[in-house]
Amino acid sequence: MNPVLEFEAISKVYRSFLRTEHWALHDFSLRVEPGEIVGFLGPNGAGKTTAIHIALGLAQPTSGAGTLLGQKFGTVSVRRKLGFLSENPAFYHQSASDVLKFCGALNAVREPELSHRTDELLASVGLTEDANRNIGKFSRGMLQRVGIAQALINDPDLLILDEPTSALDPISRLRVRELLLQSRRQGKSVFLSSHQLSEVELICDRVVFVRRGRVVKSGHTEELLRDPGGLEITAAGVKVAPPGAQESRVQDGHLVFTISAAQQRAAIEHIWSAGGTLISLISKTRTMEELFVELMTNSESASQKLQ
Amino acid sequence: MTPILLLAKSFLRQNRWLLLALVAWPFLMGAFLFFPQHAATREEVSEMAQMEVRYGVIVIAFLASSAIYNEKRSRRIIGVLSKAVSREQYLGGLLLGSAYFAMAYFAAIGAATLWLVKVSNHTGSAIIALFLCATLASLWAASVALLLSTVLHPFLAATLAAVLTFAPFSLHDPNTFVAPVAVLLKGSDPLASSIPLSATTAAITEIAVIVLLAAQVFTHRDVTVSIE
Repeated sequence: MNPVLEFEAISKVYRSFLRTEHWALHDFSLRVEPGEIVGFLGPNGAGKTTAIHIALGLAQPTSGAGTLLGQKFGTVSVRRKLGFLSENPAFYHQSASDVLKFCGALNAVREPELSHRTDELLASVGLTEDANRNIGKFSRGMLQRVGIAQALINDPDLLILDEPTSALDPISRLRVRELLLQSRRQGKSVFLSSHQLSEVELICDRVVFVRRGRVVKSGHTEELLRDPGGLEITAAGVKVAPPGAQESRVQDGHLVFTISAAQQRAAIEHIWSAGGTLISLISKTRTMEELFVELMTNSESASQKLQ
Repeated sequence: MTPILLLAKSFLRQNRWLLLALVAWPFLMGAFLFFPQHAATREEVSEMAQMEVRYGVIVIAFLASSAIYNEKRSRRIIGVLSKAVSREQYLGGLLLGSAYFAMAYFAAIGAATLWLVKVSNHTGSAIIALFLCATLASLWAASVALLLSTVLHPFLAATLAAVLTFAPFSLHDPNTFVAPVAVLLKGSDPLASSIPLSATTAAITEIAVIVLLAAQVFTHRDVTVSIE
């Protein structure tokens, strides 16, 4: 199946007036497959927004190429099937309803579908009562919700969202999460750049970590969060942990210890041979935040060593 | 066509207070001329119209030159160009918005002029000619300003556009194709002028060429230059 978004060895160099160079992206490659939600994570200045802007044709790559919904970056007509929310979205000062109609009309959505979708989306982001208020009077969170609604106005095949939940309250965040999951159920793809790591952990099928314009790690969320540290075993009727066990302790009368995946079989045999019972065997996981900090710290020290 | 119309409408809405002030200006000037003397002379009205037309051309060039810059600074350009809108359509929208602005302002000058001088067939056709020539001249200046603003700071772009528009006025016999604006507006008496067809054709052709050139340059420019 063709990817809905693909970056192929893209580099982007910003040159200042004095010809000093800043590499925003360095040989950057990435694929987003149809029907998946991909989290795009990295610290400030990692090149996330630059990558998104190149995909949208707002900026030109210095080298490399890519495709958006099967067409090369910058193709205008393909953007009719794309929904985009920028970080800190800005709109012309008019009513929320008119903002959505304006954005929909730019993407060739026609009446009566345009009015119908406008009402439907304003309701789904909880802005029905404010539909006719000028957005100039809106709070940042309300503007963000207008931004999410306008990104969905053309019923896009691919959603590219840059920090969609940064200014939202918990209830609005929940609403947006539900909208994104609903989009996935409808077979749409979502490319999500965010610093809300718990959010990413909850909804993303795959995560890509980027730092200083390079991909430092990518993979399925579940696999990435699995702790290579191993498995946590709880056993009853055993007093001594098997050789190689770590963090051994007694909890509620049961022996709890951690072992590596390679030692799993030996540990179970040890429990059974001692006449004990295996209560549980859980693969240890870490949070997205722990993984993020680990990856960014490791790549920081690696790049310092290189220098 | 829809994106161009929508963007032109937005441009006009963005500049509505300036437009209202400018539309009121010829009437205020007219009242100033009219009331103390109870009747303005034809020469006075002609001079006023000429001055206001040139003033309008400069204002519209400045508006057009700052349009891209303002949209970038407000980040609204990201919202628009991430939709199915080409750079050509985007510039077309800004130019059409400038045209709406110019037509409203020059129509106000025409109405104020009609109010000040007695209406006759001759004056009516001269005012229509003045309206058309002024609108075309301002669009020529706006398109040059737009082209320059794709690569230069808007103030520099507008200044350069104003110089390119008005410098040929000092020439004794400006060339129609090199300086169509000078030919369109140089008549010493705007109330007696007719529409110079060759200059009109040259201006329309040059506006089309300049906008296409601006679109080519703009297509290769990043609209977001800030680094995260």
